[in-house]
Amino acid sequence: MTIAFQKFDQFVEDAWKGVHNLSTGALKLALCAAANAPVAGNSQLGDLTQINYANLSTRAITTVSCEQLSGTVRLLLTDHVLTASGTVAAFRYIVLYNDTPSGDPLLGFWDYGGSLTLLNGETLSLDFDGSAGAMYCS
Amino acid sequence: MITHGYLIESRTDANGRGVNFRLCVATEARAKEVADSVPGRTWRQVPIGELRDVERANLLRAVGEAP
Repeated sequence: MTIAFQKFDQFVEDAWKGVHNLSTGALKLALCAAANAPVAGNSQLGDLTQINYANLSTRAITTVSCEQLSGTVRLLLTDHVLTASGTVAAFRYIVLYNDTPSGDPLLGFWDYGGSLTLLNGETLSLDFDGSAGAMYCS
Repeated sequence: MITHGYLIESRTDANGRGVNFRLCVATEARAKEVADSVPGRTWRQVPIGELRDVERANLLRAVGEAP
Protein backbone atom coordinates (compact mmCIF):
# COMPACT_ATOMS: atom_id res chain seq x y z
CA MET A 1 0.00 0.00 0.00
CA THR A 2 1.40 3.39 -0.98
CA ILE A 3 1.25 6.45 1.17
CA ALA A 4 1.34 9.68 -0.80
CA PHE A 5 2.41 13.02 0.60
CA GLN A 6 -0.43 15.53 0.27
CA LYS A 7 0.69 19.13 0.33
CA PHE A 8 -1.42 21.96 1.67
CA ASP A 9 -2.52 24.56 -0.87
CA GLN A 10 -1.01 27.48 1.04
CA PHE A 11 2.41 25.83 1.10
CA VAL A 12 3.16 26.58 -2.55
CA GLU A 13 2.41 30.26 -2.04
CA ASP A 14 4.40 30.35 1.19
CA ALA A 15 7.35 28.74 -0.57
CA TRP A 16 7.36 31.40 -3.30
CA LYS A 17 6.91 34.30 -0.91
CA GLY A 18 9.83 33.42 1.32
CA VAL A 19 7.88 32.12 4.29
CA HIS A 20 9.90 28.89 4.31
CA ASN A 21 13.59 28.17 4.33
CA LEU A 22 13.41 24.39 4.33
CA SER A 23 17.16 24.11 4.58
CA THR A 24 17.24 25.77 8.01
CA GLY A 25 13.69 25.64 9.31
CA ALA A 26 12.82 23.47 12.29
CA LEU A 27 10.51 20.89 10.83
CA LYS A 28 8.20 18.96 13.12
CA LEU A 29 5.41 16.43 12.98
CA ALA A 30 1.87 16.98 14.20
CA LEU A 31 -0.52 14.09 14.61
CA CYS A 32 -4.27 14.22 14.06
CA ALA A 33 -6.97 11.71 14.83
CA ALA A 34 -9.12 10.12 12.16
CA ALA A 35 -12.01 12.40 13.05
CA ASN A 36 -9.86 15.49 12.57
CA ALA A 37 -8.44 15.00 9.12
CA PRO A 38 -6.36 17.85 7.71
CA VAL A 39 -7.78 19.48 4.61
CA ALA A 40 -6.06 21.16 1.68
CA GLY A 41 -7.17 24.58 2.87
CA ASN A 42 -5.37 24.33 6.20
CA SER A 43 -2.37 26.61 6.35
CA GLN A 44 -1.05 26.87 9.90
CA LEU A 45 -0.64 24.58 12.88
CA GLY A 46 -3.48 26.34 14.65
CA ASP A 47 -5.86 25.11 11.97
CA LEU A 48 -5.34 21.53 13.09
CA THR A 49 -6.81 19.58 15.97
CA GLN A 50 -3.87 17.63 17.35
CA ILE A 51 -3.82 14.61 19.61
CA ASN A 52 -2.50 14.64 23.17
CA TYR A 53 1.20 13.86 22.90
CA ALA A 54 1.60 12.26 26.31
CA ASN A 55 3.92 9.24 26.23
CA LEU A 56 5.27 10.09 22.78
CA SER A 57 8.89 10.87 21.97
CA THR A 58 10.07 13.95 20.13
CA ARG A 59 8.39 14.97 16.92
CA ALA A 60 11.24 17.15 15.74
CA ILE A 61 12.56 16.20 12.30
CA THR A 62 16.14 16.60 11.13
CA THR A 63 16.67 18.00 7.67
CA VAL A 64 19.53 16.47 5.71
CA SER A 65 19.41 18.89 2.82
CA CYS A 66 17.20 21.00 0.62
CA GLU A 67 19.13 21.49 -2.59
CA GLN A 68 18.47 21.47 -6.31
CA LEU A 69 20.07 19.23 -8.86
CA SER A 70 19.31 19.66 -12.56
CA GLY A 71 16.47 21.97 -11.71
CA THR A 72 14.74 19.75 -9.16
CA VAL A 73 14.87 20.67 -5.50
CA ARG A 74 14.48 17.82 -3.04
CA LEU A 75 13.82 17.90 0.67
CA LEU A 76 15.84 15.11 2.24
CA LEU A 77 15.01 14.25 5.83
CA THR A 78 16.63 11.99 8.38
CA ASP A 79 14.52 8.96 9.18
CA HIS A 80 12.55 9.53 12.35
CA VAL A 81 11.26 7.20 15.04
CA LEU A 82 8.21 7.90 17.17
CA THR A 83 8.48 5.89 20.39
CA ALA A 84 5.70 5.20 22.87
CA SER A 85 6.59 5.10 26.55
CA GLY A 86 2.96 4.42 27.40
CA THR A 87 -0.27 4.42 25.43
CA VAL A 88 -0.41 7.26 22.92
CA ALA A 89 -3.71 8.77 21.78
CA ALA A 90 -4.97 7.39 18.50
CA PHE A 91 -3.98 9.18 15.32
CA ARG A 92 -4.26 8.65 11.60
CA TYR A 93 -2.74 11.72 9.95
CA ILE A 94 0.88 12.77 10.24
CA VAL A 95 1.47 16.39 9.32
CA LEU A 96 4.79 18.03 8.48
CA TYR A 97 5.09 21.69 9.45
CA ASN A 98 7.73 24.37 9.87
CA ASP A 99 8.14 25.40 13.49
CA THR A 100 10.40 28.36 12.69
CA PRO A 101 8.22 30.98 10.97
CA SER A 102 5.48 32.73 12.87
CA GLY A 103 2.27 30.74 12.84
CA ASP A 104 3.98 27.41 12.15
CA PRO A 105 3.02 27.07 8.49
CA LEU A 106 2.10 23.63 7.18
CA LEU A 107 3.82 21.73 4.39
CA GLY A 108 1.80 18.58 3.86
CA PHE A 109 0.66 15.35 5.45
CA TRP A 110 0.53 11.59 5.17
CA ASP A 111 -2.49 9.39 5.81
CA TYR A 112 -1.50 6.25 7.70
CA GLY A 113 -4.59 4.60 6.25
CA GLY A 114 -6.34 3.83 9.50
CA SER A 115 -6.40 4.89 13.11
CA LEU A 116 -3.32 3.85 15.06
CA THR A 117 -2.80 3.73 18.81
CA LEU A 118 0.80 3.23 19.85
CA LEU A 119 1.26 1.09 22.97
CA ASN A 120 4.16 1.12 25.41
CA GLY A 121 7.33 -0.07 23.70
CA GLU A 122 6.01 0.24 20.17
CA THR A 123 7.86 2.30 17.61
CA LEU A 124 6.66 3.91 14.40
CA SER A 125 9.58 4.61 12.11
CA LEU A 126 9.22 7.09 9.29
CA ASP A 127 11.69 5.97 6.63
CA PHE A 128 11.96 8.93 4.31
CA ASP A 129 13.18 8.34 0.77
CA GLY A 130 16.85 9.24 0.81
CA SER A 131 17.00 9.80 -2.93
CA ALA A 132 13.66 11.16 -4.12
CA GLY A 133 13.17 13.07 -0.90
CA ALA A 134 10.14 13.51 1.31
CA MET A 135 8.98 16.09 -1.22
CA TYR A 136 10.40 17.78 -4.29
CA CYS A 137 9.71 20.48 -6.82
CA SER A 138 10.80 20.59 -10.42
CA MET B 1 12.00 -13.71 27.09
CA ILE B 2 10.75 -12.38 23.79
CA THR B 3 12.41 -13.83 20.72
CA HIS B 4 10.57 -12.01 17.96
CA GLY B 5 9.10 -8.69 17.03
CA TYR B 6 6.44 -8.00 14.46
CA LEU B 7 6.53 -5.41 11.71
CA ILE B 8 3.74 -3.72 9.79
CA GLU B 9 5.09 -1.64 6.92
CA SER B 10 3.86 0.56 4.11
CA ARG B 11 5.50 1.96 1.02
CA THR B 12 6.00 5.26 -0.74
CA ASP B 13 3.79 6.32 -3.60
CA ALA B 14 4.35 5.35 -7.23
CA ASN B 15 6.78 8.21 -7.74
CA GLY B 16 8.92 7.11 -4.86
CA ARG B 17 8.01 10.09 -2.78
CA GLY B 18 6.72 10.09 0.68
CA VAL B 19 7.57 7.77 3.46
CA ASN B 20 7.65 4.15 4.49
CA PHE B 21 5.92 3.70 7.82
CA ARG B 22 7.41 0.86 9.83
CA LEU B 23 5.52 -0.09 12.96
CA CYS B 24 7.14 -2.52 15.39
CA VAL B 25 4.99 -4.35 17.93
CA ALA B 26 5.57 -7.13 20.42
CA THR B 27 2.98 -9.78 19.66
CA GLU B 28 1.36 -11.54 16.72
CA ALA B 29 -2.08 -10.67 18.00
CA ARG B 30 -1.18 -7.02 18.10
CA ALA B 31 0.32 -7.18 14.61
CA LYS B 32 -2.85 -8.76 13.26
CA GLU B 33 -4.98 -6.18 15.03
CA VAL B 34 -3.10 -3.30 13.44
CA ALA B 35 -2.82 -4.87 10.00
CA ASP B 36 -6.52 -5.71 9.94
CA SER B 37 -7.42 -2.13 10.77
CA VAL B 38 -5.63 -0.67 7.75
CA PRO B 39 -6.61 -1.78 4.21
CA GLY B 40 -3.82 -3.48 2.33
CA ARG B 41 -1.44 -3.64 5.29
CA THR B 42 0.32 -6.92 6.15
CA TRP B 43 2.53 -8.01 9.01
CA ARG B 44 5.58 -10.21 9.38
CA GLN B 45 7.50 -11.80 12.19
CA VAL B 46 11.14 -10.85 12.65
CA PRO B 47 13.72 -12.39 15.01
CA ILE B 48 14.49 -9.99 17.82
CA GLY B 49 18.11 -9.82 16.76
CA GLU B 50 17.17 -8.62 13.29
CA LEU B 51 15.14 -5.66 14.43
CA ARG B 52 16.65 -2.22 14.40
CA ASP B 53 18.39 -1.25 17.61
CA VAL B 54 15.73 1.25 18.63
CA GLU B 55 12.92 -1.24 17.95
CA ARG B 56 14.58 -4.01 19.92
CA ALA B 57 15.50 -1.77 22.81
CA ASN B 58 11.97 -0.45 23.21
CA LEU B 59 10.31 -3.84 22.98
CA LEU B 60 12.65 -5.22 25.63
CA ARG B 61 12.13 -2.19 27.83
CA ALA B 62 8.37 -2.53 27.61
CA VAL B 63 8.47 -6.17 28.77
CA GLY B 64 11.02 -5.47 31.48
CA GLU B 65 13.90 -7.31 29.88
CA ALA B 66 17.44 -5.98 29.70
CA PRO B 67 18.62 -5.07 26.18
